[in-house]
Amino acid sequence: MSSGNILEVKDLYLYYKTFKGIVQAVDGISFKIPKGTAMGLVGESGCGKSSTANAIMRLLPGNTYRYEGSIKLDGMELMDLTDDEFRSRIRWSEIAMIFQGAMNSLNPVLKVGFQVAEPLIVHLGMPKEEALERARDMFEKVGLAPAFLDRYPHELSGGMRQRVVIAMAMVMNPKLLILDEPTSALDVSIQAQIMNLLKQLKKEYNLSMIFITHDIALASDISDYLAVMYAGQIVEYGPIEEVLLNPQHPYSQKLLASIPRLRVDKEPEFLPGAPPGLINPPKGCRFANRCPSRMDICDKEDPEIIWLNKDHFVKCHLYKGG
Amino acid sequence: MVEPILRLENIKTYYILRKGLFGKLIVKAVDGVSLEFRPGEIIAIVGESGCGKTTLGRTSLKLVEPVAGKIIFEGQDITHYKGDLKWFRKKAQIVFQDPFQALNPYHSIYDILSEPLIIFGEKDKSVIEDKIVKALKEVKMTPPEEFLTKYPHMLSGGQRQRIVIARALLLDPIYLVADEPVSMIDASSRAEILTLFRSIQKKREMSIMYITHDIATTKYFSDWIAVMYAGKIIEYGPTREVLKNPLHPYTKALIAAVPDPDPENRFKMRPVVPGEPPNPINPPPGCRFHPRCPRRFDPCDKEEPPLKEVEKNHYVACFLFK
Repeated sequence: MSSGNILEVKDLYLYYKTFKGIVQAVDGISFKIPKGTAMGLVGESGCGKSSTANAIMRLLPGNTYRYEGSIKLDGMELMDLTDDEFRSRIRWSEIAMIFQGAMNSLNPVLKVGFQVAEPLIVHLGMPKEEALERARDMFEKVGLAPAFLDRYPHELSGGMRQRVVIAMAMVMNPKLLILDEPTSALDVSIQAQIMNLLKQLKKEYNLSMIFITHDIALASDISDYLAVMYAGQIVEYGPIEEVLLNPQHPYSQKLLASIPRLRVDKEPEFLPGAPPGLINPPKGCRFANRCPSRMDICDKEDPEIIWLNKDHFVKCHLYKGG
Repeated sequence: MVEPILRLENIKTYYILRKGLFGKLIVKAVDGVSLEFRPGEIIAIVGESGCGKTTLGRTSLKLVEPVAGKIIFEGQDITHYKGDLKWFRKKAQIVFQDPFQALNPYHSIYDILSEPLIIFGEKDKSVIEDKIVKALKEVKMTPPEEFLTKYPHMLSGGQRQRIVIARALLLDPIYLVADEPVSMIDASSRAEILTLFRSIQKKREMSIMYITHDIATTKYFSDWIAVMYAGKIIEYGPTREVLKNPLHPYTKALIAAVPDPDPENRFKMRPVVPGEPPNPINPPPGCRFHPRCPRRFDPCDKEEPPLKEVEKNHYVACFLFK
């Protein structure tokens, strides 16, 4: 029954209603994540990366206008679950998420050990002592000494607080971990430490991940697959070797060429212009106005998803019929 | 040798924190830094948060008063200059990090750009408009007339940062502090903004202090690098030379921590320095990096290594280089 994919997302939509119009934040995206692998979700700010995560976690704001599609976790359709079922069976216990800036959102008046133990007490009704024992184990896994269990958030450095947040997400032993810019607030040397920790946890628990970032180099540090998002849509998806070394969508190509490289002697290229607004986006390809390979059809028709092989697709008219 | 525009001599900037009723703590944000800014050159100040790089920038603009050392601007000692600083403010400008906060949302682009000219006594409307149009052209916001009546929220992050740059350039400064000017901008526009900034700087023969934590960009946007750690410069030299041949163990670690986009990354751990930067209130004795240094030896925890020229123009503060 289960296809070896921990997550299969198909034609997922999440629109918001605002006084200016309907925001098409997530517009019919599809991807899959094989068990024990990580998918990097990369794109510029406002392209819908965080909305995608919220859609999977079913954390929908009050102004949600359209929420539909298929999200299968280990073969089980999550869209069939009621909100109560989703909350009690899926959120945090099966799919956990580390939010952007979560390390600054720890409760300042509770000891961090208790904050890590709390999901066990709330979700599983575990006695407090046992939950704290589990928190202690989790602390060890994320590289924090047991003495830190009794500390308050302000007594910890940024890197340590991020470790606490990771422990909190992992304590329920989820099947899928979504990380939204987990290291963007950290310094490079601390970022390297956290990335090593995540790699280690991924291996140890055979953990599957969605790693959201605007930094492709950082995504390549952990991802097995890469999904490139642009203006609410995934324009390219595939194994990281293929997407990084041989990107097919003109946007992926431009995005990669714009990265300043420390070790390669190559000037970064630019991508002039800005992405379209997500309220009334253009009806053709959303990248058409910035695309160096634009054709007539690009302004008229939204390109279909074209599979280049069984794991790699691109949403671009250039590859039609080829 | 060309006369420097700005000379910082052994600058020390301390902040005093009150602790309890009578106690006080001294934060040694910048602790003995000397630099020379020559026309047409960019010095990149790199380091992690809390290393004192922003304080150094602010001190150089006399936004914070140093407790010791000298600020010499165009040959004049202005360290404790108490008179009217308007002439200095005109010649020394700053570009802030966050273009979303640096622009008043209630002011049109015209208002924003005319303000510095009005403050500095320009009354003639046609002169003001000419200068603004010229400035917008310089930062490639064309056609300029189209942007004059717009408000900041109507612009993208990259366009806003161009406005911030245009505003800083309006008074023809000869020295400019750019504090993380592209860290809030999308990856695809970063290279474009830095390249534009670089060409303007070259043409005007301006001197820039480029404060950043992103070492990869220094390669394209600086002539010299000064690496700061806990309030001190620990390595200084020509950018390409320092990047290619870093001498200080901290610089080495910092450069090694920068990931390149490479699918092989996920199979290996990143090289890391253990621990975190020291607390500037109570830095360790001797070399401030010694508790984290993989190569520390006898004198490191006792004496502070001086900044010494070990190769031509390449300075390092480390006992490994005697």
